[in-house]
Amino acid sequence: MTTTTAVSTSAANQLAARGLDLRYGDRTVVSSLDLDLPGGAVTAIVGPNACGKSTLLRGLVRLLAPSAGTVTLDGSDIHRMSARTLAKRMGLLPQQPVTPEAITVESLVRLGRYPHQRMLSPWSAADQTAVEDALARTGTAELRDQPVDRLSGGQRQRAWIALALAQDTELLLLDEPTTFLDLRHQLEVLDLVADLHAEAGRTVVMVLHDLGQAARYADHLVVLKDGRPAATGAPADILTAELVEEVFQVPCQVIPDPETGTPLVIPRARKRI
Amino acid sequence: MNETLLKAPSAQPRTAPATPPGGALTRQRRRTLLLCAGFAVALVLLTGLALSTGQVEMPLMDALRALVGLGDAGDVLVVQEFRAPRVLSALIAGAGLAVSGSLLQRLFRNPLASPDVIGVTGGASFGAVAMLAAGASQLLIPLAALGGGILAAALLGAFAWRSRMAVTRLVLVGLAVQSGLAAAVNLMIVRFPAELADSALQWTTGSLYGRTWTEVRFGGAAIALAVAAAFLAHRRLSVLDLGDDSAGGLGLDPDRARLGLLLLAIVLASLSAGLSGPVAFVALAVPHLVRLLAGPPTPGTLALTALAGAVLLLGADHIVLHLLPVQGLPVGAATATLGAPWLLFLMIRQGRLPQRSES
Amino acid sequence: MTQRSTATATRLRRLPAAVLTVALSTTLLAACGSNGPEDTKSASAGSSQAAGESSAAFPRSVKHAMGTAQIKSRPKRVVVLDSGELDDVTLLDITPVGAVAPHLKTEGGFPAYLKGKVDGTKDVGPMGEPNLELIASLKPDLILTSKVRHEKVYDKLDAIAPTVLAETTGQPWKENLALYAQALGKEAEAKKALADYQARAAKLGEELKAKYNGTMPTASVVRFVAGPTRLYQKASFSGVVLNDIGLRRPASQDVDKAMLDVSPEQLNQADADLVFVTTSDDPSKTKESEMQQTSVWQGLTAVRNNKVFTVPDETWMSGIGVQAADEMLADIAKAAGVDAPK
Repeated sequence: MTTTTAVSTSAANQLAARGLDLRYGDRTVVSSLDLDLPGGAVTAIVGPNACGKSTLLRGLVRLLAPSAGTVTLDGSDIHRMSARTLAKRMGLLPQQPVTPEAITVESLVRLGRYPHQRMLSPWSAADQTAVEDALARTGTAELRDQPVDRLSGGQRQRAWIALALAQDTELLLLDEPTTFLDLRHQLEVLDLVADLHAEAGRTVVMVLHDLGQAARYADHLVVLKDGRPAATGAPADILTAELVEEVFQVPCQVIPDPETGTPLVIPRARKRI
Repeated sequence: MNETLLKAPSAQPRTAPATPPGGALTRQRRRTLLLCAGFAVALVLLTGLALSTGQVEMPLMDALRALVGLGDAGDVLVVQEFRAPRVLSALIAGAGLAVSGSLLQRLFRNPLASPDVIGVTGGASFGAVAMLAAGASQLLIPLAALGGGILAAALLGAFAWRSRMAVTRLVLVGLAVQSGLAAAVNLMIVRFPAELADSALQWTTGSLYGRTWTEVRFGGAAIALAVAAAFLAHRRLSVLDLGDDSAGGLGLDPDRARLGLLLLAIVLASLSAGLSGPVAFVALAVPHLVRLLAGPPTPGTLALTALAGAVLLLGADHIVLHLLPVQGLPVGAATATLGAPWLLFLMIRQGRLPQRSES
Repeated sequence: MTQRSTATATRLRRLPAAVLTVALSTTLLAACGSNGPEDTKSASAGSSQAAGESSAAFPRSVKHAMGTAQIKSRPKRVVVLDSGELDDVTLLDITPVGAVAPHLKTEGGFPAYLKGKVDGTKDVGPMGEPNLELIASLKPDLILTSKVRHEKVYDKLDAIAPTVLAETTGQPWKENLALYAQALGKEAEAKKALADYQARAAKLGEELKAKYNGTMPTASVVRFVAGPTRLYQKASFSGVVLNDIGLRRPASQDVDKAMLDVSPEQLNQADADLVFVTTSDDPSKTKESEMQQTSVWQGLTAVRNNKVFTVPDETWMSGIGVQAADEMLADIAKAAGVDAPK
């Protein structure tokens, strides 16, 4: 197992798991996991189907209570924080969010302000600023009056990211944000994430399916196999043919991406009979 | 269950319609406000009509004077003791039922959710009929109905809690509770002496007959509080609409929030049933009507729901009182008769929706 | 909670009227007081329900199941809200201004046996929810009903006119007649009508005994309703009348209760020398024909001997008064083949 420390880390917004057990009913998905996610970086969690990557993400944002172990954010146990405090620090884009019928983009994005509002507090100027900023950053401002359920998949995903942005958190967790999107929209969403990191300094943790995209967009990679990290570190350091074959059971070669120089996984062709 | 409201992710993008100034939110707000004003006017007109119509004839002005205790003593009696409590009960119970239905439909993400589906009206009927069967004072029936509704809710909670309030399980358990209690009610009605069976039947259909000022005062205050709580809870409801994961990400514990809102809806429905009996279809139909007229739910549409529920029940009561050749038909019979075709219309419309969005 | 505060609220709102009424009646009572013998009558009228003498003493107060009614003068415009009360007031030669039709009667209208005695009477039903406004518009001066029927709207009824309520209906029909007669100021008439009826019932009993060679025959009462079939026992209106005649009852009905629900297999408990059958509601809704086709029913001695008699529900069940009881005497006399007592 290769373990290398990631590149650009910062002291704040560090998520860490210690001895973490996550289970659904009787089925343990993640057990005794120790993991450190660098603050100020884009981390991608990858792995084969059912390796526990989405479960891990749910554990990191408290959607799933651990049966053992802890998750800490900058050293404090997230299960000891109030839900609201946590929601002001971490935003989440779930894998399959439910779009309420006929809701407009602006109405959807406004809901991102929920953790900042008190029961009787009126809609404030700060709320409106955050919403406008989120709409602008995601390029959804001109779609604000459109019903979300009538948008294309890519537009809809941007609207949902805008909701998480309006939440105004330093950490952003995204669960397979490119699923169901065509290639152009996948890249559009990933570029948006890269911009959020670069321009707004957000710490991003996302679950991704595509190894090439993960290698291209992430500073830090967590490769999961059967609920355990098979490797963590900068993509260029850890993504080797041996690792891919071990984790995904796919014989391949890894070459530098001609565009970016990041590792690119090329599966070996099957011999024709 | 919730698939009904989920849209296929491959829906085609639409070009923006010509947007008048102000944006969609402002436009919806303006339309909701207009509709609220419209229903408020209808409510005032209907109230005036209800106060001045009846076997004892009097012009509207006399009825209004009688309402404040002026004029002919007979008119004062009729307006203050017979008409006003009945009108107010209709308004309060109608608003309560409609808001309760609206809460339930959103919580369950199911357009067919209503107090009938989760056992509350069954419980209210059960409580009232059990009270009749026990031979206790008829004056306790509204309290018994409230108790029965809460009992049904407790049963629902006990059976559904282990599933962490999963929607499908709640609906299934609710239907089971409802059928069980309805069976118990039928059994009691059959075993009753004919005399009691008659009034039990009358009660389980939902009737506004013989309401007292005490009932109006207590029921009205409690329902007003519960409706106010529903307004305060509106943000939570909107966040829950985004699904459990998103709600959790926004700092809302979905299970706890759902339980709280469910309790609120149950208390509202039970209180309303205590006042009017388990009147059918108001809770089911009004939220749909409001959605049809005013679009996706906002606090404004919740107010509209309350107003429309009040108008609908008062209107239905006016029909059974004055516009039918049969005397003494319970108001629930009228709402059920009006509601059945409405439900069919909804189903036909929903069946047609996919084709329309493809065209 | 509800009951008390309702009463309080209504009382408060009616306080001025109440004060006036009390003041007026006190004055009037005091005025009567100087007349000597009248005084004792008005004072005792309230407590003794069977005040025999037909006193013309109004105003009077009548104690009833839910309080005391102050009746200012002899009632002329009476509203009755149940079938027993209708029988009682028509017996006392009062045509009520408003009444309800028997609630299980499907053909509608007032009972046929009271034909000619309810001309001009307004139907203010249904019994479960009588139309309060319609009642008020008739400007009654007395309303008669029972607590079991209209406890819920007593406050509203009493606001329209003094309302006198019996506790319940059925078995205590004679006491109820006495109570209503007291409210109407017709105690003597009621007492006489009841005594005459008692004599007729006793006479019929003697004739039946003679007809059956010295042994009183047994009589059974069966009612087909929408639910399980019912056998009527001693603590019911029909039970009281059969007892007045002296008829014996089969074991199933020789019980101090109102009724017994029986399943088709238990129909043999209905057997007797004479079986009287009534059908409430629309016969097609009840299990009448179904039950009568069972082998248990066909095996009854009374069925084999042709001793089953269909009698009207509106007299035997919901009549609940002297006139209905007289109809029963006639039905029984006819069934047994003896002369009806005059």
